[in-house]
Amino acid sequence: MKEPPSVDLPGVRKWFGNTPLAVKLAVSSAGLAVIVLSLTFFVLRSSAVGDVRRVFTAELGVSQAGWRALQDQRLSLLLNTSNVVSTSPTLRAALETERQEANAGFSARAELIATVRREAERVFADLGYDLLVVTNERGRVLAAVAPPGVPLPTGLLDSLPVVRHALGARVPAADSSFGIMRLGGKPFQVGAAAILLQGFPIGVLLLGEPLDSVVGRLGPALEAGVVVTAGDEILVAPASLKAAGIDGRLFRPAATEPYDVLVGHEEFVAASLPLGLTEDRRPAAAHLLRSLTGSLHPLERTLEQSFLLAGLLAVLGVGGATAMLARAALEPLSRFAGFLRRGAEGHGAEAYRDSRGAVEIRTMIGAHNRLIDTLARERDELAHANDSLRGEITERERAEAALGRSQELLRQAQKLEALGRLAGGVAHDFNNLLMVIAGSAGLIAEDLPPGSVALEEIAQITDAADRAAALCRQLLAFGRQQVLEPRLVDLSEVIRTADPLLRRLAGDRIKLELRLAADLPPVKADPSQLIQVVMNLVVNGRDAMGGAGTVSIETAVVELQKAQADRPGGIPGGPAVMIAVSDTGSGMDAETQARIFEPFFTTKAVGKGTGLGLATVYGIVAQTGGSITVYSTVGRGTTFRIYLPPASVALPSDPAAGLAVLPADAWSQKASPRSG
Amino acid sequence: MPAVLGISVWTVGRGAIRSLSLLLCAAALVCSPLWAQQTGRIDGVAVIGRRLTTQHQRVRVYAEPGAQPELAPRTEENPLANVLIYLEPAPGLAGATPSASAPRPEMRQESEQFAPHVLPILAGSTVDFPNRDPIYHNVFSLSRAKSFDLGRFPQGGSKQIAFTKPGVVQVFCHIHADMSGYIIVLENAFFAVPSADGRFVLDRVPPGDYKLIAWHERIRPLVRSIHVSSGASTPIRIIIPLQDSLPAR
Repeated sequence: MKEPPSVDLPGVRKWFGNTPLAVKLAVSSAGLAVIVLSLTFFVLRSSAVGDVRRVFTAELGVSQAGWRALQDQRLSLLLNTSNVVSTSPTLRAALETERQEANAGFSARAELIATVRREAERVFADLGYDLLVVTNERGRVLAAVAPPGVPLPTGLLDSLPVVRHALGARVPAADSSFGIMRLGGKPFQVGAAAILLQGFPIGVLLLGEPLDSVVGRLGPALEAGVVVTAGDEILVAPASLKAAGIDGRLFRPAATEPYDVLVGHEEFVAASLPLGLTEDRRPAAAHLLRSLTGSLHPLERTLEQSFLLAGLLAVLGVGGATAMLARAALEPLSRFAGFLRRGAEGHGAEAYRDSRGAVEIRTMIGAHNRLIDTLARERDELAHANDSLRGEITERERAEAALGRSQELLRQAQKLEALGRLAGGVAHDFNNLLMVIAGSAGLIAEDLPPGSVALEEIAQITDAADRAAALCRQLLAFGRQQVLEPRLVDLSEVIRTADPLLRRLAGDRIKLELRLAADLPPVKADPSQLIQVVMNLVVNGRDAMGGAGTVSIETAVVELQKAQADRPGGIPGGPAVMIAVSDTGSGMDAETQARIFEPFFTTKAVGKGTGLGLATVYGIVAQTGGSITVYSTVGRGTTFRIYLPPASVALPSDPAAGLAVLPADAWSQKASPRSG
Repeated sequence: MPAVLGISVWTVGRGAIRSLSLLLCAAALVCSPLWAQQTGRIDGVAVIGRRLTTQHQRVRVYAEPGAQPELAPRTEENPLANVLIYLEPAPGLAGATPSASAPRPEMRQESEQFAPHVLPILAGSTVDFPNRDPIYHNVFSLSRAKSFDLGRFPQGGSKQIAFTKPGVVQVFCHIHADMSGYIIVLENAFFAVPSADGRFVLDRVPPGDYKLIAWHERIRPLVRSIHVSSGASTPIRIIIPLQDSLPAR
């Protein structure tokens, strides 16, 4: 037992698994085409075989009927011949006389036998037969004629079925009146008919011809090979069939319809025809054979060639077409796959804008795009949430910073407040003491004689007391403990009236620019104190510029933001009247800015400034109900802005009121200390 | 003649006629004037064992095998007419004659047949062959007992020939091949052809032992031993075993 050659199935499977879809489709389609074509071929082939078989069967049926009719005619001929023979009165007389004498116990007379033989030969010469035998009523051969080479039958033929049939009172029939008889090993087809006298058989006429000459004559006429069998024995058969090993058992002598016979590998359609019995009573039959295989062979070859060609073309065509179709159909898919791969490699997920391809691919692309959209949306939402979170953080930081700054401002304001109270209290008491000192000194001076040396000293005392009183007044102003005389004033008007004074203060080298708005809402303030404020700021600017530069004074109505207004010490949001004093001086750093409103804080050289100018400004503004801010950039200059509420706005009584409000950026800037 | 009349009818299967026949028989016995003489008598019945069929060949052309034959074979009309019963020559019979006046035998040619078909004659008799047909006929024989050829002769013509040698003489007609006749030339006069019912009588037979022969053209002659007593009637029943020459197995 040998194992069939094993196919590397996993290898094939693997190969198939790794093959592109287009190739798979092409191979599958080609395989399918082959299967369909093969099926068609087999159906067509069996149909063709069936057709040919039917045709053969029909033709053989006709041939069979033809031969049968021929047998009938031969029977008719036989009987007619017998009748003709019987009409020879001499033959009949001789036969009958011989019979009677045999009945009576006499032996056959030579003259009677000679007469019979003479008559037989006379008849035989006129017939186309090869064998003629005349027997008496008991089957004994009386006369026989045959061509040279054929041994003449002698003796009793009463065992011959045809002779028995003829002598029995039987109706002649094509299959019984004919039979096979062997003479010298050569089969003859013989027919026997009774010779009658007044309806009684007195002898038998036997006519015959060699079987192979019958077959040789009939076979071609019927377009068929003829095989004659006796039982299982083959009597006559074509050489080719003999070589193929034909067997008598293959045939069905009694079949009335054509049937199939397989000889070796060749298929035949056969029609059988009984030829009566042989001398040993075996049924003989002729079989007409037509080779199905032989006739089908050219047809099958043509069919096979056509189908081979058609199959090749179909496989190539279907395979190619499928491959092309698959490629056309899969190309959008592979583009999409490439797009996805690129996306996976880090080019970011984005929608795929290509609407070509089959509907399934478009569906897939659509799903992908929806997924991408969803992802993008979610990413945006996340970013948005992130942003808002970050904004909240920033806002909180800012709020915390603002809170810190407010607390710082508050702390500064409280510090200034404390300082103010302290300074104001001290200044007040000092002022009272100074009043006493100055009053006493004046009283002393009145008491002293003019030109007294002591007067000089007293004048110095009085002078010092006056300066101290001025200091005290400044401290009182800082401590908001001056007595103000507020009234409704137009700020622009106040500054315009003070213009000559201010120009004198600034000096010749300082350019003073005024940008005063008209139609300012009135504010409630003490105009002399306002002038004091502006003068202090101009002096401060003049000192910051080192003697040369521009000081500009500007008035305007501004809208304060609420955030600014909410700050401690700030004025309420809304419209405010602003005075801005700017210089182009050296500017300040943040540390300096934080302290400029403290009393006695100065960046000027010792003895050049009292450190009370800006503190006085702060005190007056705060007492007036406004606020002051400082904006300064180191090297660029400084701007002080004073915001005063319009007269309709109620004045706050906040201890931190009037504290400077500084923007965030100002705190972070580095500024060099400067004067205040 | 009374002997012939005395034949009693005895036919198988014909009971209706039997009683009448017996009456006739009784009458014949009573009336016979020869009964007193010292002779015996044979009362016989011939029975055909089987009716022969004759063949008439008819050819079936283009008939399918296995079809039933349409033509029923014909049977012989009166097979007993072709039966001859006679006594084999015996010493005691040579001089005896059953009847004094036997007419001159003749075999006619009627309707293309020899009539009678079977003609028993006493040796030495002359047979006339008158032609009753309106056509020519011929009479010839190839037989061992008598070979002759009377030539052709027309209607009204008659030829005769004497048969001296005992035996069976078959006569044929050269013109009509199917005509045949049998002249049986016998050595004594004790012969009879059974009537249609099979009865035959051989009368005035000298007492003794004889061989009774039944002849038919289709069979070998049947031989039966028989004893005839004086003044007695010896019954005999003969079955003619006719059969087709070679029955199919």
